[in-house]
Amino acid sequence: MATATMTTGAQATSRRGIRSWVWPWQLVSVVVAIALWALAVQTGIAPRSAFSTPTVVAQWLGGWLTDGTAWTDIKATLFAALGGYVIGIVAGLLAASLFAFVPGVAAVLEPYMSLLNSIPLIVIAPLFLLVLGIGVASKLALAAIIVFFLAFFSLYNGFRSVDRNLINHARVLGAGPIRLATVVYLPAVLSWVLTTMRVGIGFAFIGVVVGEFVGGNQGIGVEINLGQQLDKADQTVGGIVALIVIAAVLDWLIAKIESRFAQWQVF
Amino acid sequence: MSTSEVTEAPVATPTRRPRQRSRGRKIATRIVVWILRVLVLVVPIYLWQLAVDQGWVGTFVASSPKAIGTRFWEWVQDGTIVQQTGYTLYEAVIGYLLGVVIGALLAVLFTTNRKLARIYLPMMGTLNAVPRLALAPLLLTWLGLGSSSKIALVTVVVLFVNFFAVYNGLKQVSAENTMWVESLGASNLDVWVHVRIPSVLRWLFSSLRVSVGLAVGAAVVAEFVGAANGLGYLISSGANLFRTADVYAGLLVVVIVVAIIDSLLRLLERSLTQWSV
Repeated sequence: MATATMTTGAQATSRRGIRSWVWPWQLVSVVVAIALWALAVQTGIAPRSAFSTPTVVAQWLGGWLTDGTAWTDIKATLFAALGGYVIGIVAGLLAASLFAFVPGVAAVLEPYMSLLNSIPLIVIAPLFLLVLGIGVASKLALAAIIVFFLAFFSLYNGFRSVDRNLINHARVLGAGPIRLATVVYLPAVLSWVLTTMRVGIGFAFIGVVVGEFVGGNQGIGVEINLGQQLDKADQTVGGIVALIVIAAVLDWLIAKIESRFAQWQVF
Repeated sequence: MSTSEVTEAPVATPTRRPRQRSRGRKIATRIVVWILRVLVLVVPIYLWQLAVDQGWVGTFVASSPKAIGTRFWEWVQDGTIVQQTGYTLYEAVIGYLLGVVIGALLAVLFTTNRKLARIYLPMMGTLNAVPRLALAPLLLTWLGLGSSSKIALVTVVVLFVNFFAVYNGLKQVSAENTMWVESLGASNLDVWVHVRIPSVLRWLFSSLRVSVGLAVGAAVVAEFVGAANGLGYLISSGANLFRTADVYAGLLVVVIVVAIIDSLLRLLERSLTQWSV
């Protein structure tokens, strides 16, 4: 289609102009969605027992935010998610380096890794609950193992995709292993690391929230699940809203960081 | 690796001897690799059993390979495995189909209407970053303990993956390709039928293997949150009753089921990609 090429040209020249009309529409859509939610509950299309109403949910959120439980919940969930995230990425990087640079490791372990990769690791949550207890450790471990496999595969692919000619050229010019790592491998893998970082934060959150569903004493997932068990729809929906806001803010932050670093990308 | 072959080829005329020697060495390394692979699996299981037998770790936490194997065999014999796997796979398959259809339709809508894409694509991106499995308790209250709440969760999870796969796929259908067809007098409908939809199917297929894990995972998690049937119910009720062997055996069933589906799809993929250009 001819329009495809035209719009990309227009996009480059007047990005600001396009943004100025996109924003109001997005805002209106959110407002309309909330109004539809209220209307659907009012008319009985959506059951109040499951969806509550916007005002009641807002009241729950207000109470949750002011009585101090919000802080302990958010702290618990964020701590487990970010802790698992960092551990998973570092461990994934180490394992990927091991696979890429120690001969034989990949040949022996690759079938197991690809088997584990096809498995939805989230299902391990009840086992971690039994082994590591109801506290934060089981959630952190779940987030870490999910992020680990994501990071491992992404970075292993990154290492393997490094241009061999580039490595040979650097070697000929006298680069040792350390210089090779910093000058060739690091810049080449950086874009893979950045993608992994962005996707990984979502994975970490999924791990923690499911871990909290299966069993926990504090955290946003615990509030959501408790709301379901106690038939308090405002708590379930309120918790989900809080989770959406936090995940969106984190995603936005990481996207900012990503766009900062993406400018460095050489290869 | 391949680089050595490339450099050797023009220099030495490939006589029979070195080639045979390298083939023999290849077979030898293959055997060693396979032995190591088996050892990597067998030795930890043996140590696990040993640790439990010697009392180094409690059976509450570790159960034992023997106990897990016994429970697994009981489940095979009394039909539990087939029954519960059937429930979970039913939820995963129906949810997957719904998710694919809705996701693909949304993607088509977004590619045909660029204004819509401008407004809602960033919002889809944000929603994609939100852990959608968190909807499980809401869906449970809404749709009840039965399979429909699980199907709904699978649908929501699969929808986004396939939406982005199809959307990116449609965007990548090169403008050149469509222009060629249009210059041959194809109508808008022809472009869809002959160019876009075939490539959509290819993209859906390539996201199928990813979706399987997601779909089964979502069904199992939904069953964790509340269910009366399914593999997730099997695992979580084991955990609630502190029957550790049940938890391990249930996880083993999930691993085996997903591995079988994944390898079947891989075979299918291989036989199909031989045809494609």
